[in-house]
Amino acid sequence: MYRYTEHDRGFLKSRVAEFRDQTERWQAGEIDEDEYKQLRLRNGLYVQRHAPMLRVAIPYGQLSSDQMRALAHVARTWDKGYGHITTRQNIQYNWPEIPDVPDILDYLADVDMHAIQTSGNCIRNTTSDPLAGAAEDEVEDPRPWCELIRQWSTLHPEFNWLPRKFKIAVTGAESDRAAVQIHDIGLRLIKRGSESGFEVLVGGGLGRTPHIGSVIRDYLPGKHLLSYLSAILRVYNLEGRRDNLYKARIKILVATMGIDQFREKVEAEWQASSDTVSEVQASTIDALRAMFPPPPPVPGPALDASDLDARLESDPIFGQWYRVNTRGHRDTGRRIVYLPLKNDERPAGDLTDTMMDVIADLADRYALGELRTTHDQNLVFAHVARADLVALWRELRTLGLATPNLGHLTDMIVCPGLDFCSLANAGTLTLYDQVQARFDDIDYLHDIGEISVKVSGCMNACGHHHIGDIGILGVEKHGKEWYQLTLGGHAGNAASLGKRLGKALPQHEVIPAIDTVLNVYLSTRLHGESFAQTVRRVGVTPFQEVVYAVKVA
Amino acid sequence: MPLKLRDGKLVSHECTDQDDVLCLLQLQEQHPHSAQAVRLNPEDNALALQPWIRTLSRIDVTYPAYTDGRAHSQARLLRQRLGFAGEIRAVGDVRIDQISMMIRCGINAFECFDADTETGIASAQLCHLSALYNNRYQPEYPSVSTLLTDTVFQ
Ligand code: HEM
Ligand code: SF4
Repeated sequence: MYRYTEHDRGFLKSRVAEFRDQTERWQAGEIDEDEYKQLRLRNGLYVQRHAPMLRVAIPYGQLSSDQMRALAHVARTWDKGYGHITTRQNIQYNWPEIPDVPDILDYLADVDMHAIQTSGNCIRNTTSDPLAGAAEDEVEDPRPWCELIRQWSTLHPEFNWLPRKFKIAVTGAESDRAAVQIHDIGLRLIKRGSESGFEVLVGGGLGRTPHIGSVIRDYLPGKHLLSYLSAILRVYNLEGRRDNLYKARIKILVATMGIDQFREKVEAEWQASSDTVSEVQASTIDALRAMFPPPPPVPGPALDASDLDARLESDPIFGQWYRVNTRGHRDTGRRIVYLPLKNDERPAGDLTDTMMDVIADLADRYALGELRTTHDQNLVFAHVARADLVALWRELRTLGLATPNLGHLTDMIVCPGLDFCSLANAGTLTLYDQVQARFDDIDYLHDIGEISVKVSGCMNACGHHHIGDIGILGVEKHGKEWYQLTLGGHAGNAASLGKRLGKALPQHEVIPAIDTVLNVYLSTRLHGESFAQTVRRVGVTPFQEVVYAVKVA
Repeated sequence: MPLKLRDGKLVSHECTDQDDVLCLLQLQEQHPHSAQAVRLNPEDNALALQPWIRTLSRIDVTYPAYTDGRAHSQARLLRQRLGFAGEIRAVGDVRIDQISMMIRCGINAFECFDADTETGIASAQLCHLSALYNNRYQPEYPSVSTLLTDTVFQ
């Protein structure tokens, strides 16, 4: 993990002091409400339906066990005992008091954490592959580059007042687990000989006008990363729309200009500044790389995994968990273990303070003291010795963290909706509960196979409904909750946006509609075909016909 | 009375420069070779000032709202691309908490909507942050503390 230096700590402490001063001046009436809002947003503090909300950054989803314990302490001391993992790998607290926030940030600074630029129209927390440094299909570890971007973008003087928020995602693997195509800038690490570089995408995003990002450069040598990002941001800062909130994201600028003209502008800006803008030194990136060493080899005795093999033979429940919730590690003595945070016991992505503490302890005992958050709102232990899997599985089971539903129907993404969000049209969490209750037969879930269900309470798309195999969007009609379903969305390598199934449905018809959609899939699929493949082959019509048949008749 | 960064402090500017401040369009249409001061609107292309950059002594950049960051980029372009070493004055909705970022982008004078804000700015601590990141990787954005001991903009 990145280790903070005195420089980093000094910076963070002074930033907290600055925010404390701003908060005091606001309390004294020296800063007006509107201006304080902007200042607090840049420190992660929103005001929501019931209370303020504090969003703490988890840079590229990477946490140490001590940081997890600190997050538990925050939940216990300043909140109602829980936190919520977001789709951008951060954690949110729903019940802090504004005057406490400087103290919370001060406490977090002691464990090298902050909430800087987790909201506001600036460069947000950079997200990445939760399996970084462990995945079998990795070209290069993206985390050193993410850390470089984090440092560069933190309080960047030129890009703190952009037309709208700005999100960057980086992947270093063949299979994209960071959804780079739906970010303002998406970066794919590529190797050319010994040189690291990037394919650069721009203008992706969901929200009310969803776009898949376009390639602006198919290869950018890594040493030019910051100057190229600066060029894109400068063009956007100067030319992005500021007259209309809904047309202010870079995706609109790129779509209006066309990617070719946008590329010309960026390249011209980049060339013109090349003699004044510095390159990323090889020594800089090497020093960052040294902070993310590969996990040490599994010690001798731990290599003996005969217990594991026997268990896989004899215990189908363990076998199911192993197949569904774990993944291969590049070190064959280890495995990657997912902890799904979705089941019928609590809202999606929620973690209580006690759970956080227990998970931190497990991370110490089984996962080299580190863990990651994913954009599907789950957790990952990236480096578990194979010989420890049975013991870890036993502990996870008693905690309700071994439900073998990863990537399956009940592993849904849902935004907070009416329960917490002032923009919501729909009670997304109720729908989540209904899905958990209706589809609790794990064998049925495994028969359906991998499928993603994503729910947003309004068109801002915090729940990423556009890229769900089944997307569900809450809409309001005559003061009532309705839901618009889409099929065939996808987030991975070839991202695509879902297509509308038909007219919006009232709340009580949503679960039956999902049921029908699944039945159509089961009767239509060819051997071994996933839900996504079936929808791609037959289109939405066969689903539409059955879901809406009853209504037409 | 506008404030100007001088010897590490923001001091009131005796207004010797009661210049005619032209807008970009006037400059482009009239081509006065003697033009001293010009005002850029946020939508103007700062690079269009190139032909006059040696004779100009003051360029105003405007903030219709403090949340509109276009002038930050304009100031950078003036300093970095055109090598402008004179006064860049932020005018409009200029707020205390934004001054340090503006300075780091190359702005070195401030003219606010109201006198109270200016007084506040003059007595404010300019640099809360003890260390910064981006100036490590992009030395063209120095930290305020570096700038205060530097003579570049004075
Ligand atoms: C609780 C109150 C929340 C409010 C008021 C809120 C508001 C918004 C708004 C207005 C947008 C659209 C911005 C735009 O398109 O420019 C947005 C986007 C987004 N929100 Fe939220 N949000 C909330 C909670 C959350 C939560 C809990 C998550 C994560 C689980 C989340 C994740 C996202 C993401 C990932 C996007 C970006 C979608 C895109 O790519 O355009 N939000 N949010
Ligand atoms: S999608 Fe809409 S309802 Fe859901 S959290 Fe975002 S803004 Fe709120």
